[in-house]
Amino acid sequence: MNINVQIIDGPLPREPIALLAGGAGAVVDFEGIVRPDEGGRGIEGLHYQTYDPMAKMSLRKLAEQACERFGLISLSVEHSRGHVPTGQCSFRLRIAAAHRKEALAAMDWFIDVMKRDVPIWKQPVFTDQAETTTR
Amino acid sequence: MPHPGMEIDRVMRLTIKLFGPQAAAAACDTVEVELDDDKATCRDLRLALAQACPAVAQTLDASRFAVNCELVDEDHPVEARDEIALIGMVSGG
Repeated sequence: MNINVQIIDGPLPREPIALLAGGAGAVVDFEGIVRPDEGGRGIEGLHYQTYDPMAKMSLRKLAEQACERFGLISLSVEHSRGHVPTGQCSFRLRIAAAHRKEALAAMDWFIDVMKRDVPIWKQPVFTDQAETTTR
Repeated sequence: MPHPGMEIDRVMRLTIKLFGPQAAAAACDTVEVELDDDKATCRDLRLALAQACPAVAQTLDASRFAVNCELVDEDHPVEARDEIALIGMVSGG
C-alpha cells in the first residue's frame, strides 16, 4: 500500500505527484477545478480553510481505509489551502488498483467521505465582491 | 483547605475553535465556555456553546466536535487540556 497526502498552499501544480503503480491494471485520476460561477453569480476563486493538522491526518486515515476496503495498490491525494483562482485545480485524487471496478468505486467513496468528514471549508470569492474590496 | 462537608464548585474553561461559515457567523474563530469539571461530555459542551454563541446555535445539530483532532460522539468526555473544534458544514474538494 502506497499513500501520498499533501495539502498545498494555493492552486495545485499541473503535474500530479508520481505514484507507484506497479502491478496496476487501472489508474484513475480526478481533478477538482474551480468553476467560474456559483449559483449563477461570477466568482473570482475559492478560499479554502483547513483545520491543521486534523485535515491532513483525516485525509491519511481515509486513504488507508480506502486502500484496505478496496484493495488498492496506491492512492495519492492533494488538496489546496488558501486562495485558488477560477479554472485552477484545487483537489486531485489518483488511485491505482488491479482492476477498473475497485478503482472507480474507491474514487467515489473517498470523495463522498471526504466531503462529509474532513475539516476543510471553502468560501467563494465573488467577482463583484473582489471588485468591491480592491477599490 | 476546605472544611469537611464543604462543596467545592469546580469549573473548567474550554476554548472551542470555529471554522468556515460558523466562524463567519460568530465573527470570531474561538469561543470560550465554562463547564462543571465533573464528567463533562460533548453533550454538555454543545449546550454551553449554544448559550455562549447564539450565532452558531442553529447549525449545531448538523455539527460534530473534534477532540484532539479526532471526531467524537456526544458521550465523549472533555477535559480542560483538550483541543476542541466544532466541525460543521465541511466542504472540501
